[in-house]
Amino acid sequence: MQMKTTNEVWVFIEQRSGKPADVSFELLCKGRKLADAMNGILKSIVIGSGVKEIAKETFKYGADESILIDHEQLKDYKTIPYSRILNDLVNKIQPRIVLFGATVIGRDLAPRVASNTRSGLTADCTDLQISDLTYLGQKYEKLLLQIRPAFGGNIIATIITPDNPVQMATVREGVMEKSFYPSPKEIKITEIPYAHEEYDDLVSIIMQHREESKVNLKAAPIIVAGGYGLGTKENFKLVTELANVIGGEVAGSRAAVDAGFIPAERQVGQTGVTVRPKLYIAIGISGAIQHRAGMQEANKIIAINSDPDAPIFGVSHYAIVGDAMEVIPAFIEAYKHKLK
Amino acid sequence: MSNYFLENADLQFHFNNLKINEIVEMAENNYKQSEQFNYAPVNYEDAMENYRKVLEVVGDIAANFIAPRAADVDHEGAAHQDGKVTYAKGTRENLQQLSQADLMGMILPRKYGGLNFPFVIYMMAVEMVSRADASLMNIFGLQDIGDTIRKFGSEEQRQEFLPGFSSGKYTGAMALTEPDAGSDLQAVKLTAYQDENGNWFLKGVKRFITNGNGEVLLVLARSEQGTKDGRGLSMFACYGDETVRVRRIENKLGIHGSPTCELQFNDTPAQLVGSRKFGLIKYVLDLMYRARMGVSAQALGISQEAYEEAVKYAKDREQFGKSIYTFPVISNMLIDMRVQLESNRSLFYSAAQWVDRKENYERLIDELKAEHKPFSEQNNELKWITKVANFITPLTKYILTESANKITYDALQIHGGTGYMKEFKIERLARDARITNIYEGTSQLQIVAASGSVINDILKDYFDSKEKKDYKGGLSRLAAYLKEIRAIFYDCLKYVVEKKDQGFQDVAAKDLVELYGYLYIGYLLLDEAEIEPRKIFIANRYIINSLALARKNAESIKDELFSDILHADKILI
Ligand SMILES: Cc1cc2nc3c(=O)[nH]c(=O)nc-3n(C[C@H](O)[C@H](O)[C@H](O)COP(=O)(O)OP(=O)(O)OC[C@H]3O[C@@H](n4cnc5c(N)ncnc54)[C@H](O)[C@@H]3O)c2cc1C
Ligand SMILES: Cc1cc2nc3c(=O)[nH]c(=O)nc-3n(C[C@H](O)[C@H](O)[C@H](O)COP(=O)(O)OP(=O)(O)OC[C@H]3O[C@@H](n4cnc5c(N)ncnc54)[C@H](O)[C@@H]3O)c2cc1C
Repeated sequence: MQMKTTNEVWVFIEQRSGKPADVSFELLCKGRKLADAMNGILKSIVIGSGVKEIAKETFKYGADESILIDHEQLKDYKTIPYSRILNDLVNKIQPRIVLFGATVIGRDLAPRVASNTRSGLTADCTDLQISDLTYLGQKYEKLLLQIRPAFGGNIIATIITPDNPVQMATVREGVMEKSFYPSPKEIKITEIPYAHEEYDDLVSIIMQHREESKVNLKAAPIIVAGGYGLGTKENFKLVTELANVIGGEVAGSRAAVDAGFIPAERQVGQTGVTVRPKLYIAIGISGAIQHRAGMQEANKIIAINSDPDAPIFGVSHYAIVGDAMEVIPAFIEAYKHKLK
Repeated sequence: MSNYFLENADLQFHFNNLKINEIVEMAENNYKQSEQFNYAPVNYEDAMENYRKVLEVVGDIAANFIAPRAADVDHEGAAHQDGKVTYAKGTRENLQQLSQADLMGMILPRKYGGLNFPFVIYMMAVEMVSRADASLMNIFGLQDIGDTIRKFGSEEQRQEFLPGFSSGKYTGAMALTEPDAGSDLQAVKLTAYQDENGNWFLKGVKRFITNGNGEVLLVLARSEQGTKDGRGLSMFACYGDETVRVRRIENKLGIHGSPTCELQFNDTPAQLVGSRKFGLIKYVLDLMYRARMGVSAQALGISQEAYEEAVKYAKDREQFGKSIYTFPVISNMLIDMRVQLESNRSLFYSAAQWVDRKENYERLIDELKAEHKPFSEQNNELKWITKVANFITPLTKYILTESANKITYDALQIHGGTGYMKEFKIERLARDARITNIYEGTSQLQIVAASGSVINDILKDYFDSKEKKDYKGGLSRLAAYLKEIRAIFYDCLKYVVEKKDQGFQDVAAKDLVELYGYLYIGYLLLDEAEIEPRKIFIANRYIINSLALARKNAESIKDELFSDILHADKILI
């Protein structure tokens, strides 16, 4: 069956105070691959005020075209005008795929647009693929496979939304790889004027006060914790990436907190938080008693440490002796391809 | 100008009554050192004069330079940023002053730039420095790290490290504790490994390391992979270079001037000190004698200052129209403090002389061995001295540090509400005292260390001879009380031994050790009371009080006070 949509892949480019979100560029890279797989085109959707530079930047990551809605009243994200603009665009052009970062903004925007345009939406995907598929006797061509962990990470689910013309997904930061597109296209920006509507001002932003989001480690079913063994803040990002891929929260030992790898509210242990997740992955953590006190009641503990005598192995169910910098990428890879 | 040496009557009493001829003679090779170094003493009197002069200098610096800086040091504390530790301004000035006065190598041999002083004299200096600023002791009092390298290191290592210690260029740290190895040092994990050329490297983490930012670190590490106990550990010396990262310093209740570091060794080049596998079972145990004494000196110094503050405040403060000093309950507390202080000092300087004897006999035997001369006589003497030191150093640490807590708290009480205010020195003293019965082995571990000697009654002959001695006048009554305490001790000991219950013995150990302590200190005070009449008061209160306590100890042991431990789970809900 052929759907009446275009072959367009859209990525919503998120910005705060004129600064683009990393995750949006990561999604562009993935979007490029999806577009190629269906001989389609990749468009970036940029909404904001004075954000033309951001629109231009999206070409470095493989965009074929950028749709720009630039107006001073759109400076900060507001649910109503932003979703209205996207609704109109989706209804009018009917892209095949729309991707959002699984951020506060993306999680607010995507469901509204999806329900308004009757599109399929899967949250927190860890992978996206295009494939031909037969489902309930029907043949679908080039369908979007939305892949994500389910049931507390116990299985990897592949979700399809074939009955809906437009398919949407949110993806967390750090899950997709970000890299410059080797042969960027010529810049082609289509500016769409912003038509103000009275409902747009139903909510107005009086003041912005930003604070790191409060984490709730205690409630997290999956925790990926890193320690001083990661060596640098840069390396520690791998821990975050793994956590994102498997849908877990990031945590750390006190030494990791002291070293500035991760904020203090994510410290697990005697003087940090006590957690009882279904799965606790301890990476580069020696397992001093003060740390163990906070995590040893996890249902399953996987420890990754280069020292075979590390005390953490005394409480872990699975022991992986090796360099975190090699083991984590392998883990991510394996997890992503658990399907195949 | 005050002086913590000249104006401390009790310290003067101990210095003036030191009979360390034997120790000095050994340390000075029968005064032959004076042929080599023109500033070495030519005879005993000369040596004592020398010590006195230096202690006067320490007393002066402590009272007039260090003490006035202590409040600021406490307030400012040591700081940590980007892996670097900075001492408080006052600490830096203090160290510079002590180095300039040539006091950083008091017990190191002259040929490495030291003063070659007996340990007991050095301890007097540590007591005074601690009184002025307890946290400074944690740097000044680490001189025995150099001394440990002197004892067990090679000649090359001595030449490499010791002159820097003597000049004050190097400060040291003793890196034993790890997150999972506190009282139980057998659990140390920090790895020492060798490359193909045999060079050693250290890898792992230590925590709670006093002055871990120091230039030279003495590190206990596991050199024998696959081992689990103390026999797989060796001792290493290394520099605190860029491979040693100070990950954090702790935010503590007290001793703010002393940085307590978490250290990470990243393939740090190190030198083996002494032989492999002897790290814990020989070198650290040996270092402990001096380290326990250092902390005891710290406790003693804090106690002295707390006592001084309490007396001064009690005299100044008026309530109900008169000085609170005149209220019997207050003067009674003050006398209790004074008696504890003086009995502590007697125990302490007696213990310091045992350590001195031990050190000097060991040195002598090493020399005799090197010259292929017979040494069995000296060896027998050393065995006995070591036994006493094994008992007396943990006893001293236990009694002096617990006592420092009591004295500082009582001194705070005498200050009333004022004592609880940060403006007054007494609150700092109370906070600083609190660490002394925790580090270098907690009080509980000191009891463990002392109890074996007590159960074996190692001072039996000594007490026998004391019992036979004829004490005059009122002292004979006190001597009789000591006899009574001894009888109580044997009664309890018999009870404990015959019960053949290890658990019970562990719990009763505290009471047994205390009983033995009353005897040892009691006889010291009796002897002192013969020399100086004022000490009769001290002996009197100490011994009468000890008899009362001894009875209580006995009741605890023999009246099944501890039988409820079997039901701990039912009580500790
Ligand atoms: C009062 C107090 C309270 C404390 N409270 C807490 C608390 O709440 N939580 C807490 O966590 N800690 C706490 N601590 C600290 C605790 O004692 C330890 O210092 C801390 O947990 C150590 O953190 P770590 O395991 O990340 O670092 P480290 O001890 O440095 O261990 C790093 C580990 O990483 C391994 N490693 C190194 N390189 C690699 C590599 N490339 N790949 C894989 N592994 C590698 C090493 O083998 C080592 O086992 C407390 C300490 C104190 C004194
Ligand atoms: C400010 C500070 C500075 C320090 N400086 C240094 C330093 O320079 N170098 C260094 O190596 N270490 C240092 N330490 C570590 C210190 O020596 C240890 O903290 C101490 O020995 C106690 O070990 P722990 O804290 O692990 O307590 P634990 O050993 O866990 O003891 C906890 C409690 O259990 C009791 N206990 C343990 N075992 C027994 C037993 N067998 N019988 C009876 N009771 C027992 C203890 O008495 C204590 O009450 C320092 C600590 C502090 C706080």
